[in-house]
Amino acid sequence: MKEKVYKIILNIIDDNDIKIDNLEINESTLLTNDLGLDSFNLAQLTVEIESEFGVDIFENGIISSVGDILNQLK
Amino acid sequence: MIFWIERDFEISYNMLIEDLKNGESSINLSGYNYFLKLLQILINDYIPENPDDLINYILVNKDRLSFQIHTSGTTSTPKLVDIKLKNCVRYVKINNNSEKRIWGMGYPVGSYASTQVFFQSLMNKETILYLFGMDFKLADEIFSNYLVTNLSCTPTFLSMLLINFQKKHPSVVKITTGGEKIKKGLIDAFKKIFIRADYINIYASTETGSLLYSKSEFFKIEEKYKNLLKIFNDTLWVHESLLNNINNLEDGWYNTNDLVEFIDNKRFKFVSRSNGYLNTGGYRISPSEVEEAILKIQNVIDVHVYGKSNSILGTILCADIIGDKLSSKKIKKELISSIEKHKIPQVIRLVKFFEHVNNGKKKIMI
Repeated sequence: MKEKVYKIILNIIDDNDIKIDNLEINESTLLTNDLGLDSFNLAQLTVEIESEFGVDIFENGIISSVGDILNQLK
Repeated sequence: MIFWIERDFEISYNMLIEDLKNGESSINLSGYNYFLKLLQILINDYIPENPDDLINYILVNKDRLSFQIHTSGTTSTPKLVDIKLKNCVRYVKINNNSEKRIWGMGYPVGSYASTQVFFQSLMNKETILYLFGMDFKLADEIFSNYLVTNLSCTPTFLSMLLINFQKKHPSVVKITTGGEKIKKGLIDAFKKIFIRADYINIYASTETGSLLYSKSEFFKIEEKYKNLLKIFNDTLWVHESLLNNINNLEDGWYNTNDLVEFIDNKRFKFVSRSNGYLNTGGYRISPSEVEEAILKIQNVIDVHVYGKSNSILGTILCADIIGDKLSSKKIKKELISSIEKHKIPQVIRLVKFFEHVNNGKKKIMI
């Protein structure tokens, strides 16, 4: 599951041509602060994750980090 | 007294009066300059001596003053709508409390909602902190430094703040959202950060001004509006007496094209728009305008743009595209130079055919 989530995030970064120095993703990575995702990118992320896992990660509150996403999917 | 804060600049009420006297801005700030110009248009050749003069002039002349706002029409071409000042200040409340409020404005200037916040603050000689376009990484620092008391923004802007906050902000006592539908999950989430804040949800539009208020995602028509607002064919209609200057009326009523869904015999929520427009992150978008832009890209054969319900933006913009040698990344890069960012579909699928409904039209998924 973790690898699939990381792959989705990397795809969104590439798809939107977001430039990041020293890109590294782990559970403590912050979606906006570290990865530079904006509201449109986060909306895309919810769609891609829902499509893969059938879960709307923002349905029950706010997600800040990659770890928060993984917790929602458990 | 500070009138306007934008980035690291502070404009006092006295500086505003000086700029009105001089007929030009002393500082180049996009938000401040927009509202300075709006005030210049409103008061025309009247020159106030001080802030109280300006406020009194607006109050006394509100019934005859108006200004214009660009809005999307029923075609993809933006149009100018005349805004009656009396409609704009319809719900302005005078704050009798000696403590002045700091208004966090999370709407873009030029939107109707931003003018509501502007006049609410101006008429009370309070301070606006212009937040739209802020670096969300600085959210905690900005809210701690300026001690925002009243936050007005779209649900999308509120989501972005909450995603970035690391600490609680008890200075905020009221949050007002509008411009798009809100989900209960977001209302519950903000209470963990804005621990003292009350919540108000507003239904407003450029054409109608502010009409409905609620403390949740559900609205009901107040008794005083029972002959001026009606739900017909699951759509909200507004009597002409409440409107700004609108031409396309049917027997004195204006069709907002906003579809509602009743949850009991009085309360309803807004679900979508019936005129084909999509509301994504508070922006009104014409799918046909986006389709036109995509069709201009080399190797695109056909395109279908539609909306899909989304927890962050209310509705996310999607595009199914038929064509050769294309990728989502390539299409997004091409669109950056032809349309505004919020009009670029976030989800792009390359497909071999479209799903169609029985009447032969492309299927719209909402």
